[in-house]
Amino acid sequence: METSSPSQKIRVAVAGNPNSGKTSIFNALTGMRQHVGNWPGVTVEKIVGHAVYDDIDIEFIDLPGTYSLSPYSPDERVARDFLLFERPDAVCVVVDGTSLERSLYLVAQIVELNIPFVLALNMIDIVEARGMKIDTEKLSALIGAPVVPTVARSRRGIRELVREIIHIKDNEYYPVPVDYGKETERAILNVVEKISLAPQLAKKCHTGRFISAMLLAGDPEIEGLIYGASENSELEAEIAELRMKLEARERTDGETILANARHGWASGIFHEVVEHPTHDEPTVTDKIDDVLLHKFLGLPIFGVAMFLVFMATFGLGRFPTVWIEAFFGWLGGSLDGLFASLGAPEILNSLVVNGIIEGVGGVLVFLPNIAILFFFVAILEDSGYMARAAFLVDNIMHRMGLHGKSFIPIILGFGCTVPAVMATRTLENREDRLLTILILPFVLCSARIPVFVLLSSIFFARCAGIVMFSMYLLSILVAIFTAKLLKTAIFPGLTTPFVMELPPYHVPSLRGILLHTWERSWAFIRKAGTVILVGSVIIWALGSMPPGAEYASEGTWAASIGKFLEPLVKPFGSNWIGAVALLFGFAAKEIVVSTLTVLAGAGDIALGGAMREIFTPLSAYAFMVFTLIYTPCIATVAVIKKETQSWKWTAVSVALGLALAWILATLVYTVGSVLGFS
Amino acid sequence: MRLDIIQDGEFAQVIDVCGQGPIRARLMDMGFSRGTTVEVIRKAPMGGPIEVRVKGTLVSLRPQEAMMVEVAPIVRRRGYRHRGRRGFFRGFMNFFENGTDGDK
Ligand SMILES: Nc1nc2c(ncn2[C@@H]2O[C@H](COP(=O)(O)OP(=O)(O)O)[C@@H](O)[C@H]2O)c(=O)[nH]1
Ligand SMILES: [Mg+2]
Repeated sequence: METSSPSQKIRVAVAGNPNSGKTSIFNALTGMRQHVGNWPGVTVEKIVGHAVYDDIDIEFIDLPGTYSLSPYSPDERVARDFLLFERPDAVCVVVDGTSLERSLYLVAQIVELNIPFVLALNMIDIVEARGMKIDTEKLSALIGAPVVPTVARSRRGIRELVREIIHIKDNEYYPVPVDYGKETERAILNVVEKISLAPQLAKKCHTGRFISAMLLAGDPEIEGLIYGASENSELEAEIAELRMKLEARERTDGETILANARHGWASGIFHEVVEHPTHDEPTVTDKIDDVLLHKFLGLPIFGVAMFLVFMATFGLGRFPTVWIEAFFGWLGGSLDGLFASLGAPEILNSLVVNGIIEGVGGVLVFLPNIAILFFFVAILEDSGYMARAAFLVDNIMHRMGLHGKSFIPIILGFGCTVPAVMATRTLENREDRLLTILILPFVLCSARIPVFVLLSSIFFARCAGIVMFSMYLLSILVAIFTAKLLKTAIFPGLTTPFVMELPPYHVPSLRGILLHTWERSWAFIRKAGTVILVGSVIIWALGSMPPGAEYASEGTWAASIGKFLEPLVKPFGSNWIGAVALLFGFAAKEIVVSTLTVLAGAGDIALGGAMREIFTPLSAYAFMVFTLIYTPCIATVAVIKKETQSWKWTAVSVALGLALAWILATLVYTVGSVLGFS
Repeated sequence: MRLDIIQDGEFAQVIDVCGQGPIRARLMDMGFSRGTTVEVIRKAPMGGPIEVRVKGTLVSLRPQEAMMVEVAPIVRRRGYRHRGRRGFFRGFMNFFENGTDGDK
């Protein structure tokens, strides 16, 4: 079907409610020719795909799901702004046939945008299985646009959909907008006229009717946009007066007038075109929910599910992790040998082996865990269980000042902070996301375990388990405490409403899940990989300069920095070696262990003895507390920057971690000393 | 009457969505509008969220948000959970064959 040079280019947006099957339709339309990026300024994935049909190059944009064109979350704003201001040549509105009535509410608004659109009536297989009948021809006549029944996952109807999209311009469809009733219609006409009188607005208002309706509803964003751009200050007052009159006559506010009319339009069409089965039996989703959301069984089942995911992630992940470790060990060893035999300068050898391979290898070691974790998260998301999980734990989370959807990232955080931060994308509200991202570094990730194992086995041999447990306990307490603190200090009065759809269950499609897993894992490799590379080269440089000094020995710049920082770590009983270890620990927590062993000059023998020269049991414990609480690693910092799109919040996160770590470690040390421990 | 005090398994009809601001708009966007019939399906224990069926979709909301929805109870109709639990496994074959929730 592809030709060498398409003669025409069009842009088609794929829009619709969340979970209506937009991405599945988009995939069916574009195949693998897609590009995942971010919308400018927000961390909402922008997915663009290309396809050439009939000599026409079509660019498809998979818009975030939205229930209406009055945005509520950053995702929805992206979708609205794109439809309103970027004016695609056509819109493919994906509608879940099983929730046709609710979806038509969005269609009512899209009709007003005055952009040609095709309605993909998706999930028609479920509609049929439920014994529902939808008269698509009538539906098409009533909304004034082509309607194509589709089943995205089996590609049914995709060809017809493409044909309608290609011929959208030639087709004689006249969308039938909502009739708001005589008074409202008159008011809308009035506003349309007023706006068109202001020439500088004419450009913005290609969809005069939609804009005018939103102004009458008092939509704050559209108001800001129109009144801000207008030099005519009377406009605002005139429209406000129109609105007041209308509201007085209809005895309710403009927003409700419009919403009710749109719902009326949707419900009228719905009842015209749908033939219902008479029985109302529970659906399979109802039956599954009766078990999974059971009053008493719901939480235990969720707990077991989480436990299994966790075990699989770190159990299965262990094998490839070992292979990767072995591979990098082998690579480092053989390069070392190669350099030696070639007579390459020692410094180059050290850069490659100690710097790059150790650093990059240290990150890639996490890859299996991350990929497996994302695989399971994708299953949970696609099947529809994720929303149920949020439903189950919202009560508990709400008491801690968090949102039901914060729970999954926190659980992931016990594995690795990096994917956990990435998983906060399911939170719609920016403040909730920030709050969750800020507490995630306090959740004890698995990379910190080696430090605790090393120190507790040396200093607390008899009660190592209890010491380990105290670390987990402290981690949770600090996370809860910070959540509460941030909630009151930075986000006061934030109560994000919890109004969330519980989508019908689906057996997830393997292809979709693998695609998801791959995209996210690749993002991890690329982003964290580049930052880690730079970070590890810097640390290597500090550890090997000035020239001639042995790597990470007392004569290096790192040691000088450690000595410079010593006053800072003194209060919790550490010396310069501890300072260097913590500094290097920014790259990755495991490095704390290797730095301690190298700098203590122990080799492998008498590690315990060497450690006892640096730490007392009390100062070792304080050092563990500090390690637990400060910034997990440079990859976390990178991913926080990426997800918050803000250096400020990244800095806040690092500063918060350092401050809390210092305070708590010092507190432990001081109180311990006073109580007579040492 | 407010939606949060409707018992699970009961039906009600929406009269109005009270309050103001984005939450109210959101509720209306999700299908809570005058005249709509809603079915309260279940309530999470200890004041947790409530699950409601509205316009054929399942929506969960906290009691605080449910409080904003003014409803009139429909006493004649009772949800499926008030009836027997016979035929629990009906429809599951179909579910796994089609990979999705089809029920017949
Ligand atoms: N049975 C059925 N399932 C579908 C169909 N289209 C999508 N799905 C499933 O519906 C779920 C949501 O689809 P997705 O494309 O992610 O929806 P989006 O949120 O709108 O992008 C996935 O589990 C899909 O496999 C369809 O036509 N029939
Ligand atoms: Mg999608």
